[in-house]
Amino acid sequence: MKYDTVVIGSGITGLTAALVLAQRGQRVAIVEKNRFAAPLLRRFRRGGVWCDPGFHYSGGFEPGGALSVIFRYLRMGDSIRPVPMNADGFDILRMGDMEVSIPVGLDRVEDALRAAFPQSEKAVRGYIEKVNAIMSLTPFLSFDLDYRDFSNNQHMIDESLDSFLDGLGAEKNLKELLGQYGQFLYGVPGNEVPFYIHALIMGSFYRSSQTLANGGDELVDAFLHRLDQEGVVMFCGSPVAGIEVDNNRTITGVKLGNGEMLECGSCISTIHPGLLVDLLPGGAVRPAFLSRLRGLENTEAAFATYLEVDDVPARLNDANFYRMRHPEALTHNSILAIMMAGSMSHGSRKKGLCVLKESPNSPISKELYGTSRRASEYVEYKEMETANTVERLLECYPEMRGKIRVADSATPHTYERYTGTPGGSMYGVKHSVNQIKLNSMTSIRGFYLAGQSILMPGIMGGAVSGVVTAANIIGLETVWNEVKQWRQ
Amino acid sequence: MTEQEIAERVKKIMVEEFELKEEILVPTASLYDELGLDSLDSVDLVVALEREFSFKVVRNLDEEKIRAIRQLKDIHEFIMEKQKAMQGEPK
Ligand SMILES: Cc1cc2nc3c(=O)[nH]c(=O)nc-3n(C[C@H](O)[C@H](O)[C@H](O)COP(=O)(O)OP(=O)(O)OC[C@H]3O[C@@H](n4cnc5c(N)ncnc54)[C@H](O)[C@@H]3O)c2cc1C
Repeated sequence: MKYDTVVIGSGITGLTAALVLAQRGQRVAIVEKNRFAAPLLRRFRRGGVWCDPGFHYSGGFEPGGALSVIFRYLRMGDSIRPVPMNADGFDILRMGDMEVSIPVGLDRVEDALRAAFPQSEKAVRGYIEKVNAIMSLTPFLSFDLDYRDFSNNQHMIDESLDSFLDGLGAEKNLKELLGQYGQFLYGVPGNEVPFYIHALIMGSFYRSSQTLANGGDELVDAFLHRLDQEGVVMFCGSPVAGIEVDNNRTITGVKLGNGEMLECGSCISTIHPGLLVDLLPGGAVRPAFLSRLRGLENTEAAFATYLEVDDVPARLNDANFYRMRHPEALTHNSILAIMMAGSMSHGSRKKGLCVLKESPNSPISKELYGTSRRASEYVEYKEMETANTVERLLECYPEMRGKIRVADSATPHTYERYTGTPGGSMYGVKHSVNQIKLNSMTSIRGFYLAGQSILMPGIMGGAVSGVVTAANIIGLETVWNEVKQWRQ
Repeated sequence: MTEQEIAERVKKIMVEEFELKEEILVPTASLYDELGLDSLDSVDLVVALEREFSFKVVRNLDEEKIRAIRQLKDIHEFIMEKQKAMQGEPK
């Protein structure tokens, strides 16, 4: 059997792309190396609490928002019911002695930042104005646009967040705070992130940040149901081991690790692009492209600790708490993010919390982890990082001492094992002013790249990338006009 | 770096990374018509040059210049210019 399109990877990007194509009548298959779909979205249960690996909250769930419109277009609107977070402060940011709560709505974010940084009033206004302007020029963040606007990239200027804020005369701590906040949500420091990437992602969170009662499961279940209705075939448990290309540099199929061949007319790869180096046949692309894939710089990984708690500090029920690095501090030089308790505790009697910590360099080599995961060095490292996370949590919330138990933790190696993403990198390839963006098109006809590493990270970035890449195959104008009809 | 050295290193990239035959790599060779590069290749080429010559392309600054590149020798000129600009920069 020949498929119109084979999608490699069943993360948010792959699931979205596959469903768009199938809805338009294509015969589609998805290949996922894990035994189950969407390893970053699928929750697991430990010690009586639900643990979310790669989804906690997102922008775009509000009516008319990117995710809500896409999910309605994919006829999943009824199964996904976002839960609002604290409108007066969905993210609480603490840096040094300063604390800023980020409320819902760009106007209110402006007020909050102005109150916290009275000396930078003008800079704050200029910042919010520009975020708004960039969003209004970007399809999916604005549904007023025409399909032709997809090729307008005038606003996608290569200026870093830091240099943009310097230009506005922003004070150092404002720059530091916005830079670190963003870095946690897209993985790139302020001196490297292109301002428009910061604007699109942070602007979406500012507009409306919401979560889902059943966490990532709510997304996966809705997708699997719809994909099944549309006849999409899922191959789980065997990785794609090779991409088949003919003499005209046209895709012909993908080969699975178990030897199975899936013939196809086109193929969308949503895996980390660096992994393609081992999957593309010799001669299919130029060595320069492979060198480029090998040299890609990635975002940093995170270390996740899942806790069972007797009591959740009240404000963590519907808000996340970020402990930023202090610019002058020598210790605590990684950001700690305590994710709101909401979805972890939902539907279970016990209460849970997930604490994420930036984890740039694990001392454990890939070989060591690969050969024997229970090697004592690894266990030791994991225990140490977990203990350190708990200690830092207690510094922020001393009242929790004696009232928490570790349910589990996930190291960068755990993430890499499940997703293949090198180093367990949180958001894949860095979108940086120092790194030219990869194109979705490749020199192999019918072979496309999509996902967090190509367009934008996060659930919203992945979903948008999935729609846009599918639209490149079946026609951007048609798909965009259809999607737009679901905005109300 | 002299123009000669630059030309040699560019040639090496063209041979190794773009699988082109050395004898066609004359300074006046047109990248698109004669060497058969396409627009996707040209981005990979920029990345390869960035790595080889340790500079970074700044989109708003260099885009026009890169788009104007037609022949192999235009690349050499572009690199010479980039290097000059880099020497002027504070360390
Ligand atoms: C700790 C953490 C917390 C996060 N929190 C949030 C959050 O709160 N909100 C938010 O918006 N984003 C969050 N993110 C980011 C978000 O999870 C990702 O940006 C997004 O899920 C990426 O989706 P994707 O489809 O592009 O990639 P992936 O989900 O990585 O999909 C790629 C898929 O390909 C599969 N694969 C790899 N190799 C092969 C192969 N050879 N053959 C077949 N299949 C293969 C992988 O198993 C994987 O399923 C978080 C990420 C992390 C790590």
